[in-house]
Amino acid sequence: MRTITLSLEPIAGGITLFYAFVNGERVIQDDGSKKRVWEGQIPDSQVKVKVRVIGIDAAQYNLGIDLPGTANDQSITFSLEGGYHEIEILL
Amino acid sequence: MKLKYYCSLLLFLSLNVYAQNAKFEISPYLSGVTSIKDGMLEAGAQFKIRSLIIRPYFRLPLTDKKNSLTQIDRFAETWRSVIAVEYIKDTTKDSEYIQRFMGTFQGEWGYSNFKFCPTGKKTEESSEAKNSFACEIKLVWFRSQGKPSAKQFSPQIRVRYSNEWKSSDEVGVVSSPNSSGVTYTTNMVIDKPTSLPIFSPAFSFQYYPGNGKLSYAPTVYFDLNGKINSYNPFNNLGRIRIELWTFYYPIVKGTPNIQIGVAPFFSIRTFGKDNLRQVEYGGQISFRVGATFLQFF
Repeated sequence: MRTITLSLEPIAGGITLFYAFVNGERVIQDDGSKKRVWEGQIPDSQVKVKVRVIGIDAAQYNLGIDLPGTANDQSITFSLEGGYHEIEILL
Repeated sequence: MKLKYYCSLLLFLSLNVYAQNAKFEISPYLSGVTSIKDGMLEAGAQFKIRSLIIRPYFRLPLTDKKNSLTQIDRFAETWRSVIAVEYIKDTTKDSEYIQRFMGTFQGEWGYSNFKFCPTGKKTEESSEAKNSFACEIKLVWFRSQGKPSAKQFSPQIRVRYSNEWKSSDEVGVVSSPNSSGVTYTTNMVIDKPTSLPIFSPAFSFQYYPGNGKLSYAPTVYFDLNGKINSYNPFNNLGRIRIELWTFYYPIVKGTPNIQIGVAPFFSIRTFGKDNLRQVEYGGQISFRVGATFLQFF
């Protein structure tokens, strides 16, 4: 098992809701008023992380992933498109 | 009977400014919460158990808002103890629709000791202790297809009943002439405190068309109040207020969730009498930081 930390943080514009799923299981579901963090264990085999964010226009948020040995403290800022953004990452 | 919150109707543009919240974690299920909102300081705790959030806290006034949006905006002149219970059901999966329901119940109670001088002499002061209370229910639903440029909808309902005791207004009391024949006036409260029952259901329909930086929220309030010192809010005055809000969400790096709102409003008296015209109209501006599309009421 590996320990992973996911974070979703509003950066600019109107962010309404944050969602994060690990292998289809929802681990973050909260409003976008502030940074949301989840820390948990994932199997050593390949894992699918999916993030869905809904908001207004081209609002921006930050996705943070910390998976020691694979993705150490990675952070990316995304812009919504038409009030929505989703991304899938395989780890 | 004139409702105090309608004083703001006389201004063409009234401005509402909201401040931010602070939250600190004490344990995985318990957090401390503070906020300053509408001139009120709120401080308390928050327990989270699965989909249920329980928030006991105190609310204290920071400013004098006697002539502003009292009651309807949960402003109270004295402290309040509050318990709020929030339930969230979110059925969003990793694809397709994004759908969320939130229900909140809030109960408020406060105890105040009012002093007054029924004989017009400061040396003969009386006091009465009174309990004020209020309860509020909010229901919020959100749905979107969960894809770029999809429309977003959020119908919201808020129902609030309050019965708040307030001190009577000060009046000038003329003294007897002193030995030099001079009279003077002293301001003091001579009447007992009064309570006013208010019932205010409201409905808002938040809508984002899927493109651009604007969202829309047509809103209807039905504000009812009863006779002084009674509990029945249905037998004195009724007004319907319609607000047509347009919100703009600027993109400012480092300060997310800024919401600037503008709304024309119309207020129509449906029964009873007050000092306003039967139909009043005007406009409002709101500026909020840290507020999302879902946080209207």
